[in-house]
Amino acid sequence: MAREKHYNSADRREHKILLGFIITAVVLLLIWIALTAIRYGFEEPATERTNPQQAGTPRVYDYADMLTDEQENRLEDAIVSAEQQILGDIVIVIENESFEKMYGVHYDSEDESTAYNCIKDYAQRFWDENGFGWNAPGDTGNGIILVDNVYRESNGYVYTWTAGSGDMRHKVGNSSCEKLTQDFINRLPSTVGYDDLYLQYSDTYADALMAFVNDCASFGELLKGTSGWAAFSPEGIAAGIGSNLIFVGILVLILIGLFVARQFAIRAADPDAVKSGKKRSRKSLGKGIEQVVIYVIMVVAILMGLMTDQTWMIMLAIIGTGLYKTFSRNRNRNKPANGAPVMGADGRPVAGQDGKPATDASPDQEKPGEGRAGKNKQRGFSVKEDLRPEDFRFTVRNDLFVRTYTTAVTHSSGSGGGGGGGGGHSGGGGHR
Amino acid sequence: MLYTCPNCGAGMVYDADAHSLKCESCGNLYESAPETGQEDRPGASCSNCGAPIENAEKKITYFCPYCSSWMLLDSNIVHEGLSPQKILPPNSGKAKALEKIRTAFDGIAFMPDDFLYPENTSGIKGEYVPFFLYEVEAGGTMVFDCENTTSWDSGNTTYTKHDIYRATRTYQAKYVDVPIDASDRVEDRVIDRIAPFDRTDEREGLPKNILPGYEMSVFDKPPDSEEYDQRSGVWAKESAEDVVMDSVMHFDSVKLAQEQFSSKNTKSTYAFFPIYEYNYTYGSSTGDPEKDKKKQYTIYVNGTNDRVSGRVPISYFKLNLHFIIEAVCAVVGVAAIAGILRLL
Repeated sequence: MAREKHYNSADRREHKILLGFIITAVVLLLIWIALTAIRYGFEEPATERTNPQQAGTPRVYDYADMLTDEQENRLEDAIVSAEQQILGDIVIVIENESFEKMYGVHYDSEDESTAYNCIKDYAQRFWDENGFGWNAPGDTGNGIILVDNVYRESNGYVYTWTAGSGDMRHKVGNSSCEKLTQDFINRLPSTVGYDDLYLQYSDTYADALMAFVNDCASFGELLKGTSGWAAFSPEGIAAGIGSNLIFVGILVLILIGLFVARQFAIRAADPDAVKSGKKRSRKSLGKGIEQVVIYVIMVVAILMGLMTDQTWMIMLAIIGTGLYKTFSRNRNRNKPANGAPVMGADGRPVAGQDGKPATDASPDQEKPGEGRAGKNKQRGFSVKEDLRPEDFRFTVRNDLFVRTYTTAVTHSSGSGGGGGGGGGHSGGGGHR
Repeated sequence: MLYTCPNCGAGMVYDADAHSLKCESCGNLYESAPETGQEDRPGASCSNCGAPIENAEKKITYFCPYCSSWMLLDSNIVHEGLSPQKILPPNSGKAKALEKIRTAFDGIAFMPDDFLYPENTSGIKGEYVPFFLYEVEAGGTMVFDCENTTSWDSGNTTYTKHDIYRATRTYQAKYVDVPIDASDRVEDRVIDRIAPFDRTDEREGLPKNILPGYEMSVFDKPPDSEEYDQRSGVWAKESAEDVVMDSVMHFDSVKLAQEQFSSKNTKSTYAFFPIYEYNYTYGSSTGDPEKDKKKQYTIYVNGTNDRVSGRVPISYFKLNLHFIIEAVCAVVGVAAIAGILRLL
């Protein structure tokens, strides 16, 4: 007789899930390979600069005359080396001009969006019009530009902007640009109350720019690892996933889900995993786990929203949690346990048609830890049945009112943050 | 008494599906046990071949491995002055028991491939387990600290009103036919899970035609044993607590402050209920008895309904392989999504 392998419906379901994982991964992989082939072809990516424009030209444009020649030369040398690491142009523009007048606008000290839009536009146009870009001129060319306008505008602020172009707009996204800008600003002392050129020729200013170039170079390994076919290496895959917290979060959630499913599968085989008799403790356990999961999801969503400036994620987490608490509070609390006698007004069990105490429902066979093993609710281990009393009566049944008190909690209101730009350039700015 | 076929002389067993004695050789069915004239020999030896019987004083039925015969040891039917008062014949045979196992575990993945191979399942055995059915009188008092809360908002402030109550419940309860197994061999925890039994076909006394094919031993402790008293009391207490807890469910929060409980077994009935036992060994022997013991899995099946219990083996190799592959696919999938988004 042929040996019958023990495949039950749960095994078949697991096989389908496994197949689903494999097919999804293979399909996504094939799409990724196809897109990479279309973009980069099947040859190794060029490490040489291929954009004929701005080849070998200066990268530091000190219109404000803030740097000495020696400082400028050192900066140029550092940029040449850094550009090889990130395979992108690095451009530094230092201005000492009122952008308010240039753009014919008025800067507000409360709402700085106009100010940032102006310097952003200046940076992008400088890049595009001058044809910078490692692999192509304009906003498809890879690179980073820093614009520092030392002119103190009418609202009292000095503005700085960093923008990524081409592939850099993804790899050095808005939050990274903002960090680069802020780190540069934080290295400078405050010039409030001083002349606009207070830091002219100072080592502090030159060193801050040098540190900015080094910060760009530090993206080098990440950028190389996630470009072209290098992205398929183990390092490239790790770098690709790590480049955005959302991907890390999604992967962590999937792996946690897989681990939990694994534990559920083990638990399904253990009859002790389901407590017998006291159904109320099972409800509490299930409800506790449900609450923990909801709160973990909320915290993760808020953290990811804060780190990526995605306000919608934060709002969704807060609204979702509020809705969950509202609905869970209103759940029916008076439903008796299955199999328990239906009690009459006198506290005696109500007799059913067979003369025995009536019950709400026939007792179900409990399911061991559900997860992926508990789809068919009629199967599974038996659990210890509740005894049904032949006769049950309350001789004392009273609810004595003891006392009442009221608490009050006063809430304060808060507000959320803003988002970032997009299009052909990423960007982030700051002021001092 | 020996159960042999009057037609061919081979051994007979009770066929639960046919509800008759069945000859294992010629397949003839008999409604009642034919008298063979061979009574059990006093002492401990097989009525047919004279081979020694192990633990003869405890057994009511016995399968002789030497001559493959089932016999009834009449002298053991009455034990410590008690005669069996009720017996439940199984309503399905071993094949159906295996089907019940298969059905019960249909939702459990990653079991070993050979879990239900014929060479393993051929060892499934039927047994009549001795039970005492108790009438239990129980009573107690439970006192709860309870609270109802109501919330409302006024401007920026949320007000919450807390009403505190003290709920007292004193009760008396009577439970009948509380089944407590009187066999030390079968684990209490397991047998509690496959009870209750379907007693529709319950018989009085001990009809001899339903016994062969099923191992049967006398009870290990008398009905007034403190251990049985305690077990029935625990079960009654759990049931009473559930009923009482339902009566305080109208509060938002409930905390048990005091509890008193007492119970007494007032009447007992000596009965036998049928179960099937399937023993499975996972993997090969390690040579270490302690480790080998952990590889033993025993599944119990209620002989009268679909209740099944027991620890189920899991193939950790299959389990881990599945999840490792899925984890790798997840990493590749997320990396691919990241790569695709970068390229778009």
